[in-house]
Amino acid sequence: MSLPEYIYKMFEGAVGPENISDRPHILAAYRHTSPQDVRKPASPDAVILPGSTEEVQAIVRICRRYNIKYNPVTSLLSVGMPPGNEMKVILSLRRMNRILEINEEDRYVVVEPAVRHVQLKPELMKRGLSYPVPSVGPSCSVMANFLGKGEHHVQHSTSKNNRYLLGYEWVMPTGEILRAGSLACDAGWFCPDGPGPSLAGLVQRAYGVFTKAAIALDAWKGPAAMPTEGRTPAYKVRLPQDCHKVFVFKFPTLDKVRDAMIEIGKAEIGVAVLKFFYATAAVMFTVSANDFWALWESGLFQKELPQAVWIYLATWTPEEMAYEERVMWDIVREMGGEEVDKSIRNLWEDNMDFFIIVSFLQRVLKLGGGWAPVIHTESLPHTVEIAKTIPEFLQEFINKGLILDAPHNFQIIPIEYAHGAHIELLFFYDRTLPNRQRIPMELMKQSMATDIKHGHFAPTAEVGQLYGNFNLWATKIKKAF
Amino acid sequence: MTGCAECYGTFKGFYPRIVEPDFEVLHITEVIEDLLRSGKLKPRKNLKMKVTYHDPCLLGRLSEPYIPWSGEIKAYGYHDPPKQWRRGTKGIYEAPRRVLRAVPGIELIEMTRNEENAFCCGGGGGVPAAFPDFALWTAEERVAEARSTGAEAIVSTCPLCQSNFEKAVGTGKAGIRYHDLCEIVVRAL
Repeated sequence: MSLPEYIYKMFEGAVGPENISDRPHILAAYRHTSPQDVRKPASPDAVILPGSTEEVQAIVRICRRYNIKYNPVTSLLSVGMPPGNEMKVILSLRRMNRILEINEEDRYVVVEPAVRHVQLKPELMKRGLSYPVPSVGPSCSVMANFLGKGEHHVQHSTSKNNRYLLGYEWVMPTGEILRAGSLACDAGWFCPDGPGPSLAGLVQRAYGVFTKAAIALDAWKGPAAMPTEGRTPAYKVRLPQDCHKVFVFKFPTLDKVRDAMIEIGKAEIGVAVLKFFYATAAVMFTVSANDFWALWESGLFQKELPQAVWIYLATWTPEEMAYEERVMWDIVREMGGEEVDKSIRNLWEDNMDFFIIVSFLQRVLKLGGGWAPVIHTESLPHTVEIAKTIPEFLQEFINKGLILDAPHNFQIIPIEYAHGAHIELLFFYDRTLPNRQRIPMELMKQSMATDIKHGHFAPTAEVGQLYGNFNLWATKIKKAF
Repeated sequence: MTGCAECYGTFKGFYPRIVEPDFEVLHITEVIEDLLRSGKLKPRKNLKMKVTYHDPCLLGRLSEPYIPWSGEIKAYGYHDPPKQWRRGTKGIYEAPRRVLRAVPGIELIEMTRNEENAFCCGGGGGVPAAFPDFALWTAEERVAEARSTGAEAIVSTCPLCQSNFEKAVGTGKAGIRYHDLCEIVVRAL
């Protein structure tokens, strides 16, 4: 349905006529849904481009008054508009793309929602600063990753991105503006908590629109500019080898992978430690589906990588590198690890942006496919126990020819020197199958059933009772808004 | 031989879909490069200018020859027979740069978005006719990027880029000029 003219005029009054449109070709460009979603994307009734917090507030108030659904977007990788006949608009935040402040001494940066990694990361690298970029890739919103959980490849040494969120400004669904943390007391951006209890858990699934956020920064041990060579599609990003090295080791069992990760965490060495997806790696490092099949059918990745650990060491000096390498090798040898085929290590040495900005992760979509929800666990050992049961439920789908034969295509990334870990499963299904839309749902059901069968998880209602009935509180908060 | 990037890209990429040409197609920058190499052209005058080169879309990433393919796309995107992909890898990027470097006094500074990643000037594809304000905005974006390199002039080798850039540069208020690459070479002879 289209917006009534009087409502359109109200939005136009808030942002100006050049920043709103309901023309069909514009709406078509904004029809989107996430890559895993099998539904046909619904169309908004208008697209609005606010340029400031005040304009966002005006739009949210209009939406609340007339019961209009709204979806703030930057890169269009999010879940799209809901189906149905209710009025709905997209708030494209692309005009709000300013880096507001880089504070090198206190190490934080303040950004608007449409600041993207490709814009922010190089600017910070020039100043010897950095932050973890999640695997979503360079074109996506920095703020979105820090308001969500923000998993990424260097969690081993840095934790999840939501730990780095400092003060933020939020236009709440009520139309009020909340400035959280130290910002609320005019004390700057340094702290996200207060007044009152921390709202950090709330912002991950909040409604409303976030209009500014500060994120903490780390020191960057690499060059001031990303050293890119070559031409599309064969770019290379190599970092100076005296202080940046990547290793890939294979271990005899997942238990040894776990133990190696724990020991490396105890030693507090390394920027990145992870067990990466092996089929996804084959898709990432090939430039066409045919190239992927040539690599996959060679069997190299299946032989070398089901129980492999990637380690990225980055140091300030060659002497520090020598120390970290010695410690790493001690641990790897103790756990029975050995280096994988050199050609695999070369791939990562030639593509070190995997640890910096993950510039080509979207290649994983080229075969068609999706992935199961990320599962959070309390400990690395728990994650490994879950991983051992993955082939059990995947095999049925592989045997029926519904998904690619890659039963070990999951990744485990320790967090904060192996104090915790996250696990993620990625499966590929063929888009030409007539019943492909059912595959992700069926697979996820089997995944949940396997988790419950092995006692890895319990239904939320049971778990909630042990954790302050968080599930009931979440329902109440949603109802309040 | 064509002095226009859009014509070059059209001859290379579009006409072969209708009929395979029985002649070679060269861009003027390739010809100039040959003449410089063989010593038949000798630029002598020192132009003392900092320039940045803008890669036209149809001379760069969209200039690769069309390669016909017919076959079947099987499961998981497998092409049978294998398809050769045109990704802009083999566009004409080096010839114009070698020509500029051969002109005495020219200091060539690269923009961040260059070669296959060059930001379009907005002058091609019918955009100025259909959306003149959008075409001008696009050129102004690129001019701002060019100015940020410290260059005194943007150089390119396409009349559509020229037309759009000249609108964006205006009467010099933008703080940067536009020159065609052939004009630079002629001035140096």
